[in-house]
Amino acid sequence: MNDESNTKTANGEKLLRAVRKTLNSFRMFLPLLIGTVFSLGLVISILPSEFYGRAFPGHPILDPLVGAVLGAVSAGNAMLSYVIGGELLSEGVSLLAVSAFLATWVTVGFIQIPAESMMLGRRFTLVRNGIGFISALLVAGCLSIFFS
Amino acid sequence: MDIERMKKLFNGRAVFFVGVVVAYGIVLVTVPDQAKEAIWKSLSLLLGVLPALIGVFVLMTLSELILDTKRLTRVVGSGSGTRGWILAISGGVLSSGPIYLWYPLLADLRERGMREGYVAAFLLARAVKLPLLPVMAFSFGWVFVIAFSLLLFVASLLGGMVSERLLSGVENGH
Repeated sequence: MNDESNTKTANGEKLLRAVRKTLNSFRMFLPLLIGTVFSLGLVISILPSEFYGRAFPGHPILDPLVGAVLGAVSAGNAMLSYVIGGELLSEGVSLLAVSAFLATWVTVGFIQIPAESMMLGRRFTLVRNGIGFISALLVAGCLSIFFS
Repeated sequence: MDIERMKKLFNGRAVFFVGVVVAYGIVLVTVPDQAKEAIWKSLSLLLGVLPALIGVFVLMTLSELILDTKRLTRVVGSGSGTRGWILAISGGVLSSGPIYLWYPLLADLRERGMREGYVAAFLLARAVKLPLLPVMAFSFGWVFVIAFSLLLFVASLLGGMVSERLLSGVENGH
């Protein structure tokens, strides 16, 4: 009986310690979360979807780069990128550029860089986002070859 | 105010937070309607991420309870190999909510021994959005969607491996 109550107390303390540690991590993270969400809200509001169509110069090499950069600086649910990407295709933007746009939208997060670098380190964030950007261009290139 | 206190006050988080407030201030002065719209959008985004935030909180507490350092190292640590890559990538594909919600959990796991390559692969694999594939197929067709997802899947694995190589190179001073 005594052993059972000791085990229960030990488990309760373990749980309390775990919750306290998580709360501590969250206390450090919450200002970053709020800042990131408000940055996202600002970017979504000041970048209207019509802007995307006007940003592509119609150049075979520049367009994929523009697409990749636009995807990286844009923010929001991936579903929005599919809708914008579909519209861009129908406006005559190349599949390569649209694929680069779709891929960087989900792999590179320009707005999230401050939060990512403060939580996971600056070097990690630069390497991870840099690789995300390059791999997005490679994925777009492969898709464009496959569908040409 | 002494220098130490100022340093504490103006650490990275404070600078970031003040930066966002200043950006809102500028938009509020130049285009007030858009600033108001942005505030409403942000509040609705914040409400939208709450369930996922609670989910991450529960996962972090569970990982603290269940995964001691020894077990964690075996699962996603230096000697975990292929199983670790599979776990990291499937975790990334299956994780829901915005990417930034996962930073505290990943930071905690990395601190306790998770390989950097797995952290990078997890974040890169989040590009594959299984529940949204039908929506994407509506605009681009299923062949494109399958090819796109498979390529992103491969890119997350290779990206994780390259990240690890680069980061260990930087740490070793190469």
